[in-house]
Amino acid sequence: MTTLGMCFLVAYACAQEQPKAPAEIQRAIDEFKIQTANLGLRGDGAAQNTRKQSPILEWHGRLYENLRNDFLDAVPHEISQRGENKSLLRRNQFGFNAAGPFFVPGMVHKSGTYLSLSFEGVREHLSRTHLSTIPTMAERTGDYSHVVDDAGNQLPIFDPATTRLNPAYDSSKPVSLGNLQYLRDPFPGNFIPADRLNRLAVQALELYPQPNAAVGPFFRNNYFINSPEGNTANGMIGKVDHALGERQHVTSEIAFSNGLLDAAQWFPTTANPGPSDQHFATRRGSIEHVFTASAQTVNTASFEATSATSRTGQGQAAFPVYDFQPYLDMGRAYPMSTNAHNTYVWSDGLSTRWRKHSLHASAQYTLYQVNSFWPAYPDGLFRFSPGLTSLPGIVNTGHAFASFLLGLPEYAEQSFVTSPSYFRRTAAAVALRDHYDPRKGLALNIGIRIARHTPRVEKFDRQSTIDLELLNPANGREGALAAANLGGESRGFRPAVVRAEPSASISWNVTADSKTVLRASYSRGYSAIPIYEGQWGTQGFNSRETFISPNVQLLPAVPLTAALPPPAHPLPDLRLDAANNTVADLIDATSREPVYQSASVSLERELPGSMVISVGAAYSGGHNLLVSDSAANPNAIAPAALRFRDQLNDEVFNQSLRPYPQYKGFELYSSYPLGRYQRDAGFLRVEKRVSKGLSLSAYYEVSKQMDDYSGPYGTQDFFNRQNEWSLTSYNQPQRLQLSYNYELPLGSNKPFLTYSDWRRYILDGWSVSGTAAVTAGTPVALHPEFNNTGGVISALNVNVVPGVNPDVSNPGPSLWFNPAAFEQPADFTMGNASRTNSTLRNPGAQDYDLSVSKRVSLGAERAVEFNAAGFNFLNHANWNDPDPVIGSASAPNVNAGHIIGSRGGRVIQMGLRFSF
Amino acid sequence: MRVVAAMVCLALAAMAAPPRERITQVRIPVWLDASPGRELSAKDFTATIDGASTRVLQVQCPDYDLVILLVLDLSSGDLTLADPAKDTLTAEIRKLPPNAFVGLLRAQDGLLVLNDPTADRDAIYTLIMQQTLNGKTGLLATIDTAGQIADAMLQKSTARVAILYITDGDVRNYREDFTNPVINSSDSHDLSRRFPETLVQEKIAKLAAVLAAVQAPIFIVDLGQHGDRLNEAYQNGMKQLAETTGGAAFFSRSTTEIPEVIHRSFETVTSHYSLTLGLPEHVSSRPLIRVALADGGHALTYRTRILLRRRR
Repeated sequence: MTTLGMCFLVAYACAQEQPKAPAEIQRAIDEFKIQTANLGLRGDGAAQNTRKQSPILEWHGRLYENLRNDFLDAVPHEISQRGENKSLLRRNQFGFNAAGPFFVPGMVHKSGTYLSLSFEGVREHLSRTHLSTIPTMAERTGDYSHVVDDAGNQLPIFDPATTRLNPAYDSSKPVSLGNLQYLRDPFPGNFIPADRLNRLAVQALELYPQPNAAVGPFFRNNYFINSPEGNTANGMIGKVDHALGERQHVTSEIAFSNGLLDAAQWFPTTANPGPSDQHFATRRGSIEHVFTASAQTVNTASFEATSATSRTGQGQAAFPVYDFQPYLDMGRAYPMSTNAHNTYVWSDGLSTRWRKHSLHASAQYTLYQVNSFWPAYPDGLFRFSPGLTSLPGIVNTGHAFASFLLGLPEYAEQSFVTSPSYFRRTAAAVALRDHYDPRKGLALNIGIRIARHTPRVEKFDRQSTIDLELLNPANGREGALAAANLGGESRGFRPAVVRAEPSASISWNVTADSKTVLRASYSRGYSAIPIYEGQWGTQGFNSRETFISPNVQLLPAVPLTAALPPPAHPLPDLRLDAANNTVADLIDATSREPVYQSASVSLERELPGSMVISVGAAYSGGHNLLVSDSAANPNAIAPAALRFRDQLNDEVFNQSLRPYPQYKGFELYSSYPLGRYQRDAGFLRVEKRVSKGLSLSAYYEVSKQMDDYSGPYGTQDFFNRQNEWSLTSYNQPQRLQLSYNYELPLGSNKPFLTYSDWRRYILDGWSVSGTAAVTAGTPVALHPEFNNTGGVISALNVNVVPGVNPDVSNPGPSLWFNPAAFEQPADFTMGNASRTNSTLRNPGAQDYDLSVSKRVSLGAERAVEFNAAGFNFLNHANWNDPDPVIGSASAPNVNAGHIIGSRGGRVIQMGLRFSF
Repeated sequence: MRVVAAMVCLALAAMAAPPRERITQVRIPVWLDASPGRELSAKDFTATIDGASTRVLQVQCPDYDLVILLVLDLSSGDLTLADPAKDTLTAEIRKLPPNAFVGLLRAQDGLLVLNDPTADRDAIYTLIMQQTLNGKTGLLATIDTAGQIADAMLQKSTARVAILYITDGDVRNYREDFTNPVINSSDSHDLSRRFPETLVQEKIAKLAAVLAAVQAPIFIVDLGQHGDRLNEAYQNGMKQLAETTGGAAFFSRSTTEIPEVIHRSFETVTSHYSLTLGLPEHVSSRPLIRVALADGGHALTYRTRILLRRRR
């Protein structure tokens, strides 16, 4: 017998004994029965004269169009500051949704099945802007007579062909202008003769654009890009919801979307360094089954499959990457790729009640797949540095672009990828949670989750790492290439791990009126190492041919040529020493995983006027967080080696100091579990529920977050992580968020201008919504202009000048902080400042969005809503960050502490929606 | 041509609405800030409609007959919410006076009668405790129908009638979509979802327009503890709908509060006065209502607007 049948049986049995209702109540009951029978709402077979409403009338939905056009917008500040007055924007976003019961006219009237279908399309063209620096036209011909350093002094370019040992060099003293190890002559007039220019370099420069801006300082920031980008997308979501009797419910969803990002070109030649065009396709399907075994027991089982594919650079012309910082590159890394993420999730949850305990048990199994074909530099990378055109050992001499003109790269690399990689990993978890109400006003939650994570494997075992315990035949030292499932190696190089993740929370009504709630919670969890796109960890199956200069000040890695030499050994090349002399891919072989824990306490109080105020504090922290090779380097040279000074520029000597000297370095691909962080925050939240048409919510937070890995440059001292403990580079110490909605008190059922005639069509249905976000700035991360540490320190910090106040009285774009408070560290020394400054903050940001809506009712179910939304509607300009580069005493960066321009601009979106 | 004209005339005749009955009186719920210490009658109240004095025809006091249509909308499957709610509901129902009858309905997947209004507390207890927590959230899909039923009961009887929704639903658990989910994940410039509450606000506005004509007060107890912006808009909408009818909404912010908010909702439901006001012959379709005690001794809480929709 169904639950509903039992309900009525119980009701009928009880009705035999119940007292007779008073006459007025009886009349109400009689009418209740008539109405519910007429509406077909009775399950006892008493439906009489049921109003047969066509199922089509139960369908609801909407049609909509959102329009954006630069005609409506303010010109973005970053564009108007470049003297332009237009930023292309044409955007149409349109779609529909329809939902209602499934029926077949004349056959199936009420099936218990509910359908929903949504479609959305996007057609968009907009401008992308970017300000960068490119060489002047004169510089491209070798004329460096006008090229200056950051202080405005002429930058001398030296002729590498004239390099010779200095017979007067005193090796007991540091290299300096007065004690040079090598002598090298400057080019006469600072002019590289035309016959010395590399033919390939000159040819490539024909594909480079001309300067079109003069922002400065000096000739810097001389190329402004305002390039069109296209975006097309079409997608659909379909849902089916079906009740299988009274105890079972099935919901299924299918979604797909196809998109094309027609990327903005930074310049319209094959040497374009901007992103490639990208094709997207996402597919998702899910099914959920809810079985209600009894009023106290519910089981939910579900399965979801998701696939997201992206393809870039199909049919694109080949061009190598020429990297000559600080100028804009030529060519692009990862020019062509195909990546697919597939995720399959099975889960089941069972809730039941036992005395004062509500128990929830769940199990979940997830399979992750990432298929990736993503060669980094299939056409080669050539990186140029100032070293080969400098006076050896002397900073602020030479220039990377001059080295390019001479065809002298310090580093070269080419990717050879023979096949895509098919990475897999799984996660399984069981969890038990108990909600316990020991007494009135007190609730406790405790839970435990046991999770098992398996490491990443490759479907065909085409995966490799450097096994740090294997002996390398080339030098007999530890560290050799190891392939998955070969030579005793496991498929994933790491063990599968099982972790217990506890959690607990408490809610306590501290006052008798239940208007004050104290909450506290604690949780600890682990995070598996995810699979990223890319083919990291496949060395030997794929090749990364690497060419390193024996001495970046004396000799190029290879001559600049049209093509780099192919691999010396055919692929797959799984020799133990196959990865020697490269930046080798290293997969951490320990069982470490990122660990997170958090605790919070808050007090919430309900106040008169439909207001709720909450105040609280939260702590979160973690260790073994995943970091990249800019924050961790198992093959780093100890800072004590800085005493070898200029000798470190000798690559053979330099590499001999590394723990694994057969490798130049290790590529960790943001998967190395070593980072640590801690965040402490206090917050205040005020929420006002709607009254007199106004509702609002405000949230203010003050926080401090520290870590030992974040930042734009990396870690200075890999051997003493405590020295790296400083403010998180993205920590915003104060944050205020406000959202509100106000229905204007005009029109029907409102206090003012209540009309019943045609005027109500004008006055009814106006509302205003808005959000505001004000955030304090992130810490300033200062950076010295020169890094003369022989490759020992990859991210050098600045020095603090004692006694000089880093703050300025009225920080503004002309000077945000006092650069005189910092200095470039001496050659072959580490900086003594922290990675991020503890007091200096970049400019904060403000954003105000506003939406005005007018709804016109076309009956009980139909309405047209017009909406105008202004994003950054105050057209507020947020300052860019100040220049953080600190130059040397002889060549100070004149731009240090200055802010170049601001960004942002008002965007208006008009929307029209018809709902039925 | 004549045939077409005749068909059009016939169609227009068929579509023509039957003559509508003028509404001559309305009933509104009223609360006093404290007990007056005596039985109040019609002559104790004064009222104006659109500024013109009008007669208070009847007053039903808190000890008068009461029918509560209790609508359960328990769809989250969360026993930690539903079980304390069920326990408290049954306890509160047992405390009701004998002339308070309770009808039981459920809202998940459409409105359904579980039990006609009855004074049999055991029957209601059994049914409430048996209620399963499945299906899709139904408050927004059923509240207008529930209001329509209660209004019909008010028209036929002098008993006080109130609707009390007990819901634990998430706005994301509706069969109809109010979430406006991202359809094209590659569209990185989409700003249309910066105001995610638009769809639920639109639904609320439509329902509020319908409920403005409902004379029976609607009360809503929301057990769910959702802090996201979309559910905040949903909860504000529930409050707006309830207040449109002169009722109120109650929100539980933790499981420990559930007994208290349900208790408060029953107190509010049972303590209301039902005033029947006579309507002048010429009155606007959305008149402004003012009610006061003749002796001015207490502050009153009541709805100030009502939509007068003529009955067919």
